[in-house]
Amino acid sequence: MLGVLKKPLSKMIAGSPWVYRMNTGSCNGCDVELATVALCPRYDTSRFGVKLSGSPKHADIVVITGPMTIRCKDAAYRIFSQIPEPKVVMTVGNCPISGNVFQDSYAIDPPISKHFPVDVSVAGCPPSPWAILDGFVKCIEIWEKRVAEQLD
Amino acid sequence: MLTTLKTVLANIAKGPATSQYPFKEEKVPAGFRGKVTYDPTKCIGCKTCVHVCAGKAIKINEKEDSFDFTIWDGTCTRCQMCENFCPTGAIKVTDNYHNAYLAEDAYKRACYGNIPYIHCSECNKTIKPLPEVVAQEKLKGENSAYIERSVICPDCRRKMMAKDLMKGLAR
Repeated sequence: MLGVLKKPLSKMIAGSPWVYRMNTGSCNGCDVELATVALCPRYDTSRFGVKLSGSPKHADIVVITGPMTIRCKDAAYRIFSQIPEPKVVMTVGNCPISGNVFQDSYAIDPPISKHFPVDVSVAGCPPSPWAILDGFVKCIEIWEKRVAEQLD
Repeated sequence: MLTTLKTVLANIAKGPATSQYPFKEEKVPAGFRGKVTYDPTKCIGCKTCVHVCAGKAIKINEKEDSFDFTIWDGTCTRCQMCENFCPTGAIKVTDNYHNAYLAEDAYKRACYGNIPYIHCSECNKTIKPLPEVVAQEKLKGENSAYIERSVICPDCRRKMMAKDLMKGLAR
């Protein structure tokens, strides 16, 4: 029964991924670009069903900004463990990739891929809204695959 | 009632305000700073870009007979300082905004160039080459005096100039 429904079910679930936004010490540049530009009606991510969720327990896609400061490391781990599997991790900006201009600082611990399994990276400082849209599209493809695996 | 209808019709005629991006290419605003590209045929290895780079994205690794140039856009802050300071125009900031990629492709996006040194025709010391394109661009018009001595290290050049000067004085 489930075998027949697997394909349409995974398509339907992938149609509405909920996004949880996690700021691990970002300068807010990427947050502004993400929350008030990419998720607003001009670049409408709701076309792909992407919706901001307030709780990590409802999230499917985790969006991480910032180079992971030492102060917020424990909190970030705790929040990340609350997000149910399967999840897709996307990083926005250059800081999660390499630390950017803050690299070699004693207060941060980049890259994010050292801490969490990153799937999609969006480069830029801050990235353009089109790049963030591209990132969401890539995330949704991965998310659909993960859901199909979970239904097996 | 009529004004409402007018507004509604005008809005329908205007089309959607939403950007159609993933389905249609977007027009980039003027002065947009995207991915950086590097042209190894123009590079003279002066290291100005390494000095001005804010995010330490550019690395020049000097080896025995060549030097490696690497620029990785994962650390690039898009400040355009390298393009402004590059004397030959080897580094260019493009308006390429396709900057989302799968995490495993991160290091494939680095621009890399390996430039071999040339040897001084007098003392056989290794020197960084000046590409023909750059010579044509920078030394416009009559430059035979330069072309004659283009593969000479700075020390030998100084000696030769001094010799020429002494010849002129003795005359």
